Amino acid sequence: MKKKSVLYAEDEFTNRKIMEIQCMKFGVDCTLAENGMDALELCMKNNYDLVILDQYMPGLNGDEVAMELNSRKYELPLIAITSDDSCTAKLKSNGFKAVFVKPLKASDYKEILENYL
Amino acid sequence: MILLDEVMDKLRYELENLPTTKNADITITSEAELLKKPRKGSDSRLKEFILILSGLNPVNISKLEIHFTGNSSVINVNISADGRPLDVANQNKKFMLEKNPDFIVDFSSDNKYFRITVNSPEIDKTEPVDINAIIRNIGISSFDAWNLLEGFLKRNKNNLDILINRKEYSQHEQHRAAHSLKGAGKTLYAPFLANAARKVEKNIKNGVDCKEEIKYLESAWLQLEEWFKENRK
Repeated sequence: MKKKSVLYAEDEFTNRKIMEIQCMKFGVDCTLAENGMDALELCMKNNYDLVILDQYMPGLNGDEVAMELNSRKYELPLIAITSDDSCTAKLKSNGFKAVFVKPLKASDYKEILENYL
Repeated sequence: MILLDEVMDKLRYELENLPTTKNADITITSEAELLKKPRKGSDSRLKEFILILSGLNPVNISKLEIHFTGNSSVINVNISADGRPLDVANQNKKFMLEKNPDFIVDFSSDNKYFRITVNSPEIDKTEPVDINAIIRNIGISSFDAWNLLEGFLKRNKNNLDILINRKEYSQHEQHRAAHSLKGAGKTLYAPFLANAARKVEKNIKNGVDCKEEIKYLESAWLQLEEWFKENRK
């Protein structure tokens, strides 16, 4: 059976590395992007089962990537990760299926990689 | 980990956007001592709880006062609105106390004032990072946790350098560097680094000089590096 795949865009190394470790643990293929523009390009070129976007990134923020993807009729679920818990409602209205607030715990990774895949 | 000044900023933002408090004159203050050290606990839970209480008053509030006091073990949040009775007392008190066993809520006899007491001891100053918390809370192995910390120190040094040499960088680049250090510091349970980066981030955002805060951040970084070299498994 083909492994599920995730794209995770995040500019900060530590969070990228943790997601990579968690994906390995859950048997999920993980592609990492370091900024919003790269994430957008990767989404256009590849088929992922889930796209996870950090909100505050160089170039394009997570919500800007989501809006761009939505305008291109991108139908896969998008998840936002933010350090600002005051913007969760706004992010959901921008098309994210779920929003998680940093720092993420083991249970958050489990929920993302089990419930949204 | 609770960074109280971060809680205060986020709380203000939330209250300024809540229907019942958005037009209010909001005062949020703290005893200076409380802001010096990070505390154990979850800032999002504390903020959420205050918001539940603040949002329960059905009438528009014109004046809301929140004052943080406490000691090395607890934080007290003292709240009053317009100097008039708050509706939260009778119907919700029992429910809230049952739902939030970590909090103690006291209402004044006239219900014009209430205080939340949160058990939140200061974080022990001797450890710049809590490696066991990384393993336990993120759910990764000890091997991965140490590698993560090593990677963090290698990959984030440039963010510290941006702040030290900040005149060569735009305000946006400085803010991003401080934001990354704060976020990674919180993720890695490095409270002093996270707290120092948080202060730098705030000052940069407000266009305020942060020479002293950057010195403190640099010293928190060096302390973490040193600790890593001595304790690396």
